[in-house]
Amino acid sequence: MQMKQQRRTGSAATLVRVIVMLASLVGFAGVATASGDDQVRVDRELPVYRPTEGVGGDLRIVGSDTMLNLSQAWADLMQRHHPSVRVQVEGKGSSTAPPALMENQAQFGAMSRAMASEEIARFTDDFGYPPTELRVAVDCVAIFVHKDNPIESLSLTDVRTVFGVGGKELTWGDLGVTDWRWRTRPVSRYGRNSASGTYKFFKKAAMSGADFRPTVKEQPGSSGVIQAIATDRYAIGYSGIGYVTPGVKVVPLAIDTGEPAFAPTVDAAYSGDYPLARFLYMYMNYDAREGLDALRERFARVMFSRAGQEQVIKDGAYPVSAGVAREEFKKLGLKPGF
Amino acid sequence: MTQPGQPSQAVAESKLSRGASRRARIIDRFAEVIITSGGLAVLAAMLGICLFLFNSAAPLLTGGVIDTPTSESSGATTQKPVAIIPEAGDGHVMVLDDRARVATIDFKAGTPSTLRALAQTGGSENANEIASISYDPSGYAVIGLTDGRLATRRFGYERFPAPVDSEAFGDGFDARTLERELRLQEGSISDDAYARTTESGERVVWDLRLGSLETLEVALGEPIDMVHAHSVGGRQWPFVAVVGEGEAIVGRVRSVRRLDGDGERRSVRTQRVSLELFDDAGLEGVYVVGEGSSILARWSDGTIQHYTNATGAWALSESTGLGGSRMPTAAAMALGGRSLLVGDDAGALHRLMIAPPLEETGSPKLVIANTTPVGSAPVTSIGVQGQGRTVAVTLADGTVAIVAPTSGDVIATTSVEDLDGSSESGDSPAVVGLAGDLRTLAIVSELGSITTFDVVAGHPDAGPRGLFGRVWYEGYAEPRFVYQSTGAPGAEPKFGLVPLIFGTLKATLAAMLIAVPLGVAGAVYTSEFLHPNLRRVVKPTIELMASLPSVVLGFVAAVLIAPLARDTLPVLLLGCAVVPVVVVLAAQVARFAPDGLRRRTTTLAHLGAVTLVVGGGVGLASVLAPSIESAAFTPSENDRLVMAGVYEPVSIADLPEQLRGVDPVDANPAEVTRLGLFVREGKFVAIPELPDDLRAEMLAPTEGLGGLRRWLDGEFGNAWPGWMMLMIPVGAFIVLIADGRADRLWAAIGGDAGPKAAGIEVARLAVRVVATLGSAAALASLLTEAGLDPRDSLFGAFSQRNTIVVGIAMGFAVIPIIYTISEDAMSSVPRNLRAASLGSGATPWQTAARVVLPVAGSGIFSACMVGLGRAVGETMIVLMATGNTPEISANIFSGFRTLAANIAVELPEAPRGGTHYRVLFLCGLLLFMMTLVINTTAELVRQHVRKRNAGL
Repeated sequence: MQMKQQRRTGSAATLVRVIVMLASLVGFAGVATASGDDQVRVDRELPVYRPTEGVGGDLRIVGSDTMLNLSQAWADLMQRHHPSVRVQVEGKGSSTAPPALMENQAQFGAMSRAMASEEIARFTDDFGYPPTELRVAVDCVAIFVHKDNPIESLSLTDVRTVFGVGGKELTWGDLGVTDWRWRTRPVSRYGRNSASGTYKFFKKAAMSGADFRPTVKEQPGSSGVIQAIATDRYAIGYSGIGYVTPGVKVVPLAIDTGEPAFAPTVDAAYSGDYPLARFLYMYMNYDAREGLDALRERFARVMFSRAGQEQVIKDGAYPVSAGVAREEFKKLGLKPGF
Repeated sequence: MTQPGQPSQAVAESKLSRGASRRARIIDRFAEVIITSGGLAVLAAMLGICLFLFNSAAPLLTGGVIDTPTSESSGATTQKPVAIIPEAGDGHVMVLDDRARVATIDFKAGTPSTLRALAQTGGSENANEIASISYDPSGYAVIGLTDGRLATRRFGYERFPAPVDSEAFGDGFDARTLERELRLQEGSISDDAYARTTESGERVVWDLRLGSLETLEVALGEPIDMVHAHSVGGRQWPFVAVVGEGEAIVGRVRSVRRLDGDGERRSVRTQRVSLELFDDAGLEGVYVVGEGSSILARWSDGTIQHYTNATGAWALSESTGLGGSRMPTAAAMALGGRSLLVGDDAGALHRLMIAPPLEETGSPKLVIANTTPVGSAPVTSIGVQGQGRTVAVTLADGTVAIVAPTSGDVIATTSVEDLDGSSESGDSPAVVGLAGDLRTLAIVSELGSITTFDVVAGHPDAGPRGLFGRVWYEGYAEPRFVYQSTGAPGAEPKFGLVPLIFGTLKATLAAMLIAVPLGVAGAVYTSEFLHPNLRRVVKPTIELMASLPSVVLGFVAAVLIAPLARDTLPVLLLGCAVVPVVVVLAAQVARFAPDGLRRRTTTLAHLGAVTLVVGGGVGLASVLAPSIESAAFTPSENDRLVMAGVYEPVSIADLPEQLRGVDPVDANPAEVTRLGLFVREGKFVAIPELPDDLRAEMLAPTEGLGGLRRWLDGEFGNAWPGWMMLMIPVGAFIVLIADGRADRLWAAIGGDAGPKAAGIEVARLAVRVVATLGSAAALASLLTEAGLDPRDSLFGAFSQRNTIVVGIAMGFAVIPIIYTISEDAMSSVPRNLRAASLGSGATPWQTAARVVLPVAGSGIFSACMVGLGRAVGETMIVLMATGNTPEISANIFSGFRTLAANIAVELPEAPRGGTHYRVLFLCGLLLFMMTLVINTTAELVRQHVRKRNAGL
């Protein structure tokens, strides 16, 4: 019975993945038009990737669904430079990364949030050293509404009232919308499933750890949230900015009521003014005593190369600076070389 | 099956030769062994699965243990201890004292304890600068200085794997060797590093890491007498500091980190609060709650004050005590900073928190969420676990306990009275601490002697009360059943399984309500009325439905049925009433058809006609639906004015007699409406007098705001149309019973049935329909007048992924099972019974209903039960067709989460062996038991009925 269920889950995941891929095609078109005047450029100091000979083997990346497209793009880059490397990418949610790393089922664990102290403690218990954390991209979790919704901005306090448990049922009027078509309508909430790092990041950063209302409809994928919002005029939901489509609108956010609100642009994300900006991470089971094997070293260099960070932009997220990349190389005992 | 087999076997045996019969016996014997062992293997597998599930879930239900003390020391290195922190992972103990110094002791390594000052300012230790200190369980010392500045410093041990070849690296280690070996590790090694072999034989290096001393830019001016802060180091954290008599400063520190480099901006906002003093009571403690919107002050006379800045300025909102003559003796803030744990002089632990208001209006209130009796002596100390939400408690009589304060489960308890001289010398436990991994508990006495205990805490987050009881969680207005397994760090996971069990039952009920009538009726039709040639096509076709993967069904339900049901909701609901009426009407009309035509119609033509009629019914429903919807679910003019915001509150003097003194929220809505009033924002409101032109202008923007879904959302209107919808089946039932009586009366006065009476039949049908609608309307009015609204129970806010959608999709999956087994049961009813019945002049319908159905009853029943078993365990359809919202509501337009879907959703993220993992196995065990009970019942009933029918 157990096996059967797992197989079913697997096929559902495949299905979801196909949907995600289809939807992200639409998503790319949206990003291309949306970010026309807000040029995001890769840090010029980042190096061009130079492949070396004789790298081969199997590389598995398991984890975040938000980073699925990105991981796949890096996997493709890796395979282009090193044809004898086979890369497999699996994205069921950030919480699946630590178990995969610990059970040696993956070399890289993609996570859209930092590991929780409990996860680090469990890893350290098993191996005697903590997992190595690489910050590979900057992402913004955005609040989306239907494209016709006239709302101008929200504060994190509003966000907490909308998604957090307790308090009354809200209408759009309660959030400051005066348009009569929205004013009296109840807010319909969408969010990610609990395995996702976006869910946990949002719970911590936007809601100060408060519980979600039980009526927040959980969608298994980022694009599922966007799709649901695009078809529900009174919807509000959160998801990674990379999945934006023309059917939805991004709401600028302020930390507290009465403070200036910021849209999730590259500048606001880098400066930390946009309150829901975060790093995307790749975690590794790296034992400093044994050093790094060529396969993992190459993949790390691919991720932090100019082409690798250009993939980040294509995916709708923002690249990391050369300074961050240098620090990450140091963590792996590598010479950055730039 | 064996009964008819035995005699034929005997006959065969007698005809065979001896050799052949021996061969047959060997084969028999062989088959017997195979079948028996196969059966036993199945049983063993079942038992094995059951045992495995039980084994995985059982640790949840066993409590914890506090072992006898493992080690003690009388280091006396500290002054007055503030907190004791046993480090996670086979580590050591740190003691923070009131001079902001950390003493570290590792019993197992036997290293001498070290003492480090945290608040070294200006290069040299100047203890006089420290005025007050508190410990934040996330690992920070919060220090108030005499010059009015607030400082924080992080401290804690970090663990490194020792270099692989470290022979030179004995127990008396060399810090320089270590430094060289570990230069690959980021950062330098401090003076407080040392190496040790752990119990598992692994070499590790421990290093005391001190964060930098962070002093807030905002100097608070006066010496800080008392200080509290929580969530230090987060993006935003609150603090409260008492400066002088009755003056406190509440502040919020916000750190904005740059994501492209190392820059950080920090801002502090502070506000002053005047505490209302008592003449004869001293301030014992002050605590900042949540994000800094409330503070609690604990006084020596037992009063706990709650201050808020709800109105913009800080003011005392309420004062409370623990109730009775209970006096607080110790208090600590739970991790996350939302609950204050208070121990009293009678040995109970109270959890106080600020609960949001239950009603729309009202302000947050300080409540005692629960009380856990730990023992009978006063509570002396409460130690909060570093990463989680479990606490250790000591009582004055030497009792030590581990408590899960949220659910109120006491996990483990022990007594330390027999410790050497602990009680006689007044060396009572002073401060207790619990390690983050719940493996060590440590107590430091006032004299500085330290005792540690090995602890097995089990799964404190999922005790029996947490799993199956109502728990008042932080941020909730009342105790509730909650399932929310993934908490942010510091917030607790909530494993209430009741919403999941409810969701499973709701999904099953919805599916069965659709599948049983359709499946059984289909089987009756196929078996009794369909031409055998057609049956040979129809039956396999329906069975083919069963082979449709449930993922596909779930997918179709999510992307096709859900939006369709949303857009055609009125048609769907009206169709349920209209289609049966149309079908019965058509059947009556068909009786007028000439005999010749009726005899010549083939089954196929008949089926075609039925399809046409049903299609006609659906068509009629969709034609009628818009007008009925706009008639029943349109806001009245007054409703529309209220929706546009045109209303004013009614003063008590103007309020009608019967509503005075009634809480608007509790008032009977029917009565309020009759009096021309509305309830908005928790007040009685009325429409003001308006000139006509203004009225028209105000009404205009709310044009087109009617509709069933808006009515369901509770925006306008009264309960009547909803009750009307629900009462139609009830009315039909009443009319059916009355009709039976009328029938008998009709027969008694010599009425004649037959084709000629068809006209009368049609007239009677019309009467029945009218009577049904009439009685439904009367019932609906009655219920509405009683102040009941179906929107609080069966109806409610509309969610696109709802129970009806799942009912349809899962019904579709279950129908083939019910259909096939029922059809088989009816086909196996002996032909002679049918022949006898038909021969006695019964019509085919009478034969089917009164002879075949009762005989096949056991088979049909087990068909339904097998279907039920399938529906209970169905995963993919509910997973995809609902929002997986773990809510408890009878509303047929809301979603739910089932046990099976929950396992599928959460298993990949549950770390093996953790609480969450075991809870999921408990879900599996519950599911297994549910299906076991259902199938056993089915089998028992089937056996019973079969015995009863054995004579046939």
